Parts: sequence; C-alpha cells; structure tokens
Amino acid sequence: MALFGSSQFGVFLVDGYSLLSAKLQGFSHEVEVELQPSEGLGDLWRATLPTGMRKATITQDGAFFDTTTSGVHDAMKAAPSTVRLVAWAVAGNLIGALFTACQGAFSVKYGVLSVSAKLTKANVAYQVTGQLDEGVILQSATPKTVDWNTKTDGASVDYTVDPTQTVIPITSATKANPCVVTTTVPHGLTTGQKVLPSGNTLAGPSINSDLAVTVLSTTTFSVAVNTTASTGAGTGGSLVRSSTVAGGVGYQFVSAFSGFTGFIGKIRSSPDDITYADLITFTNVTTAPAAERLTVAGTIDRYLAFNGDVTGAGSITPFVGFKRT
Amino acid sequence: MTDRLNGTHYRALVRLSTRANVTLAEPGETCARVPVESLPMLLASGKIAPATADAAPRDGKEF
Repeated sequence: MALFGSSQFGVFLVDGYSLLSAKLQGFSHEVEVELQPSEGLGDLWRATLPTGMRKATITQDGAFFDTTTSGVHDAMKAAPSTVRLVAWAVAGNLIGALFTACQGAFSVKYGVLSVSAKLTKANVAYQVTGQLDEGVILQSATPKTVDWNTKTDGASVDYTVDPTQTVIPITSATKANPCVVTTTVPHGLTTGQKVLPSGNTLAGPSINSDLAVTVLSTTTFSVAVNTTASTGAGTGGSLVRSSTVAGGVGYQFVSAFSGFTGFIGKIRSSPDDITYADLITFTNVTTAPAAERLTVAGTIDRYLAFNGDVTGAGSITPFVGFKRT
Repeated sequence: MTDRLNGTHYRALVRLSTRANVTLAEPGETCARVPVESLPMLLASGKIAPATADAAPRDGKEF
C-alpha cells in the first residue's frame, strides 16, 4: 500500500492556473452515489436503491487571496457558471505518477475570508459535471525551453507497471496449441487485448511475454503460443494487462508561457517501444493559462510518451496526463 | 514468407515515428520504413492495415 503526504501534493491546476502557489491548506474531492427512496406501503423501515448516478465535488480551502496575474483571484473572478478543466496529483509531480482530472467543473462557490491579524484567504467549491478521470502523468509540470520528447528523455510510461493495474493470478496454462490460460479470478479481458504474464512455469516455449488473448470464458483465454513441446502444463504466476481497448482521454494544461509563438503537444503510443504512433495531438497553444481535454477511441498500446514542439525562444510549463478508459 | 514481411504491403492509418519522433510513415503511406518487427503489433492494434487484399493476414501466421 502506498501512502502519500501533503508534501507530495504535486499539482493543482484549474484551467491552466496553477493554484498551489497560493499555498492551499486543504483540498478534497468526493464521489457520491445517488440513492432513491424505495420503501412503500406496508414497509416499516426506510429503504433506498442506487439510481446508477454518481456525483463528484471538489473543494479547496485556505488559499491566500492573491490578485496577481494567474493568482487565485484571477482564476476565480469569472462567473461561477464557468465550466473549468481541473486536475490534481496527490502522489507527486512525477511522470508515471497518478493524477486525477474532471471532465468539467463549475466553480459554484468562491468565498474570500478576512480575519483580523491574518492574511486574507480564499475558498472555492466546485461541482463536477461529468466523470472524474484517474490516470497517469505523462509530462510533469516542469518548465521547458526547447523541444522535448519524454521517450528519448528516458521517461516514457509503461502500462505494465501502472500503479492502478490489477495483478491477476494464473492458475494454470495448458500444454496445447493454442495454449489456454486459466486465471484464479475473473480476468476482465477482451479478445485482442494484450497481457504480460510473468512467473508461470510453462516452458518450451514460455508464455511469459507480451501476448494477445482470445477470451474463452470469464476465467480462461487462449494465447497464440504452441506449447505442445512442453514437458507438462504450467502453473502459477500472474499477469497484468499490456494494452487497453476502449480508448482514453488526454489532458493538457499550460500554466506558464512566455517568449514562444506556439506550442504543440502530442501523446504517442507504442506496442513494442520501437515504433510509436500518434495518439492525441493537442491544439496549438499561444498563451497561458490554457487547458484542453481530448478523447481517443480504440486500442491504447503499452507504452505512452509525450512530445513537445515549441516555436521560437522562451519558456513554457506544461502538464499532461492520460487516462485509459 | 519473407516477401510478406515487407512493410510496403501495409499502409499507416496514423502517423508512425521512431522513439525520437522521426516520421516513418504519414497516414496513408506505406510502411516501407517501419521496422519489420513492429508490423505484427501495429497491425493488431489497428495502427496499420494491409495495403492490398493480398497482404491481408491469414490465420495470424504471416509474420
């Protein structure tokens, strides 16, 4: 289990405004399941049923009231009905770390609190419209002055080590063509999806490599490996997914931008870490703050990298994350 | 068999590039410059498609 402290709270961006500089004292996001009364005549006790709807809210407390450009007042002085893109990271401002963002948030309450002999503070409450997206950081909020590529910089993201992955135990793998793998718990895979088994004893050849699956049941699937030369069936080990098949959503925030005349950010993916394919290309940015959320359909491969192309000379502070659906 | 590994039998559906972001194929172009070892995985993930019906995969064994 990983625990995180306040010093690891690495990012809080609202429409590209970086509000951590306002020294927040508290932050929360809550997800509620909406329930509907379901009791009727003759019932003695109150009863409820889930409607299937969920609601998310975000609050930030104790920021210093700040009227400078890109300060908290600059971010919040717009009408409360403004829909905003919001992202935060409680586990550090690091490539590969978790981040959370929301599809849209109304800043429904902006309060300025003045207390005798203390600096004035500002609190904001947001009502989220749409879903929360929890993914991984592809580009940390770090100043950049030239073109960059997180892959060649040594910081691409490998989905098989994603902290949100569920490790699925393997019960057995058959001596057969194709090899049939049985999992201890429902695997939740889709035909065509790829997995990375490890620790299974099957040999001749091993199945401990990146493989596409054909789903046979909730706890079995086959892989295109001929294991008939094996001395027997394989046992043990586990697997993680190495691709997803239901698309995803990318977020890009730019909290500082000076000197440059343009910036184009691009998320690329690769199934083998050799050849990369363009996945999401964000709109050209010419000013900050800026924020954009884009969705993509289809297969999302194992490796993700971010590429930043700047025009001219200057400095930029981007933040990019991606959530697999 | 060897001839079927030729990337010219496939076309890119999205821009393909190296790790260093050097373009290997723009959408619609053939995959002649794409590393041969990447072709099966790119095909499986829908990033490339056979350029002709003759290049279509058969029983997943063409590679």
